[in-house]
Amino acid sequence: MFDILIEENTARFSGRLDASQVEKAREVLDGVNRSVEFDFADLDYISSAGIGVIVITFKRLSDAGNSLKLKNLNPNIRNVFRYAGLDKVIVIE
Amino acid sequence: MHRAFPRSIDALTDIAVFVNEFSESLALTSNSSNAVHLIVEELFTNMVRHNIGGTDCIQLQLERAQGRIKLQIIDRDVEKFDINDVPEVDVSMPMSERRGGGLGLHLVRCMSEKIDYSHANGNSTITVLIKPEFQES
Repeated sequence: MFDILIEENTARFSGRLDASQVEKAREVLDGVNRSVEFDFADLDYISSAGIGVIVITFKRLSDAGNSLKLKNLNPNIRNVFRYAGLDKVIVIE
Repeated sequence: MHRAFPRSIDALTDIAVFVNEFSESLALTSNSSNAVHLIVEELFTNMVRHNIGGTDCIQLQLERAQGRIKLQIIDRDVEKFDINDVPEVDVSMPMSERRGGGLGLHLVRCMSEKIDYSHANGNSTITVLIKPEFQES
């Protein structure tokens, strides 16, 4: 079960962000229009489809002068961002 | 373990359960289990989105073979689409110059030891070998 809960300047992700959940993620993240942190403490898994929606959000926020920071990535998710070369692009705590 | 799944992105939930059963049966580490999950999802979604002509279910087989995890995914009655012909993406490019697509196969290549593709009698078969890690007993 995948979910995103928005609390002030933090979006808390949980579950599996795979290709079947991308539209749900996009609907929620399209409403984010300020600098924000994505808390992945309860996110178990992400695939390239999930990475795609994070990148689209990152680009949109950056173009508007806002920032995005990722935190509490488990080692597997951290590896996926590293393989994608995004650890040098997006701030990861 | 072998199972057929409908050629729909919505099948990913059932596929995740299937992969979990396989990972638990071999006591794979979280890292190895994650690799199997990701490779299966990327290849399955590629077949659903790009294989022309397919109407049948997609077959997924996972097994331990000769010290490796052997993952095989078969799509029947489709045109040839050799994933080894897909060019590598350059993940060092600046974000503004990156084009969409190709990241899934890039991740599969990062996490695999070997990827083979064959197309015979209309059947597209991808076979992937993964070097596994097991939980300490």
